Amino acid sequence: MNLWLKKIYLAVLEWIDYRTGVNDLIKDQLTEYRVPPKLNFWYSLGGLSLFIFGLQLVTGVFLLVYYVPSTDEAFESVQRIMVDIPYGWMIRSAHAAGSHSMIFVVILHMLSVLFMGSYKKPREITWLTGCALLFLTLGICFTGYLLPWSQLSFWATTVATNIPQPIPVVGPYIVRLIRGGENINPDTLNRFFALHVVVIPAVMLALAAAHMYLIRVLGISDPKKPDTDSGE
Amino acid sequence: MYKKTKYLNGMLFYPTFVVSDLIVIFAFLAIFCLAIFFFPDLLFTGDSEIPADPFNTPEHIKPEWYFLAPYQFLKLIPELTALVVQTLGMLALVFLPFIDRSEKKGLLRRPAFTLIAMSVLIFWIWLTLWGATS
Amino acid sequence: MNETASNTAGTDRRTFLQWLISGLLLGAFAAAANVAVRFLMPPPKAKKATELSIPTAQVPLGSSLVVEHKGEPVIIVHSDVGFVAFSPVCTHLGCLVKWVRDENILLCPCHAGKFDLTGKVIAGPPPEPLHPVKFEIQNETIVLV
Repeated sequence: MNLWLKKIYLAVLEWIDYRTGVNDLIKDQLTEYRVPPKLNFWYSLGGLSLFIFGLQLVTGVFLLVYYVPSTDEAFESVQRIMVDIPYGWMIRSAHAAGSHSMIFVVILHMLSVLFMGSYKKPREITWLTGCALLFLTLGICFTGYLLPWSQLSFWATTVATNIPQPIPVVGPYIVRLIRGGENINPDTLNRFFALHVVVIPAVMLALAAAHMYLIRVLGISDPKKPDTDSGE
Repeated sequence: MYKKTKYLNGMLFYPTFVVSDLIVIFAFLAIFCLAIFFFPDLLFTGDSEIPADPFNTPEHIKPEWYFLAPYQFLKLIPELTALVVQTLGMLALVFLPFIDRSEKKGLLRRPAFTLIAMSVLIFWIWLTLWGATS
Repeated sequence: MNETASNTAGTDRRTFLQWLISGLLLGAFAAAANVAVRFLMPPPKAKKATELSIPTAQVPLGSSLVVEHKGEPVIIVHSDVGFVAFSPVCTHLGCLVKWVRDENILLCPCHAGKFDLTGKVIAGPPPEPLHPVKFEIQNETIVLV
């Protein structure tokens, strides 16, 4: 019986491999891919950021089911998630705690790269995509902050969006472009919502893919060895 | 193209490195769950439980911890100067690989860089703590 | 010879077309950018010139009141020297100032900017004075114009 199941299992795997070449991919990328020996905890921070990002996508989609992006209903809908919906408090707390931890982990990741000198040639572009990811992480936290439409969200966003104001000539225009008006208004909530749930996550996914592709083609940086000589 | 080092006797990505990644992820999840289940008050405080009122600014509003340092910086010096300094700082960080072109990587092999980076980091943490307590 | 000449002519045509197409693409991109920016930055709604009347009894001596006028907040302060009205939006980062009676100042809760009752900055980071709001007092009512 067992032998019979195993035969079917292997046949299915072979059927898939014949049509996709997935076995070679698994070999090259996972089971036969070697990284420098003795990688410590600092090397896992990038993977951890990716994990938290995934967690945020999941909890974010759950919140999206009940959240209403309108100034009249946003606060109420968040209260409903916290009080009425089973485990709603847990999903929202996880999303909030996830945002804090993602920033913390991303900053730690950047510091480790900084002090181990991993940003040096030939990894400049990896560093640039990483910087963009850091700024987008801050941006997604900032836009998400307004969504509950509480006193805290409203005034924190008022203060922060006022910061470009003193820039000569373009300052007031930048403020108006961000807010979609002179002050924080219903349009501001909706554009932040669009940025928070669609634009920034999509760009972050693409950049994270580029970031990981570069790590794969350039290999993991070894802090004890400058990268001047190519090859072994 | 740059030829990467092969590490013929390095550790296997799967399972060895994936498992060490998982250890870090589960350690994180332990702290994460601790925060969610036992310290929910840390996440949502005071003003986040009052609906927005465009005609009343609450007392003592403060940004989240990761924006405290720039916020405190804005209090210290005129806004435009603060903006210019912070933008330059960000640009220096982004273009660091093009500014610091030495090939040495280790912390102790490039003391000047380590000293500067540490000072900036300590200044940032100090501003954050100052912002949190003021 | 002939061949080279025709070759050059072909290259010229190709270069010209490349420039033309790049130019058209750039133009299309600029037009699209214009659409995006204009779409995201609507002009402010025309404000109706309505008056707002508040009985002076609503702002007794030693108190202040924040009202909505033309969609913006206005703070009216009744101090020993009479009534003053300002936009309470702090010129620093946009928080709303409050009147602190004991010190007779308008205080911004965000970065502790302080203004006196003429709107002038006394302390803190605000770059310019508070914007005054025009008002008249007619028969025990404050009329905001």
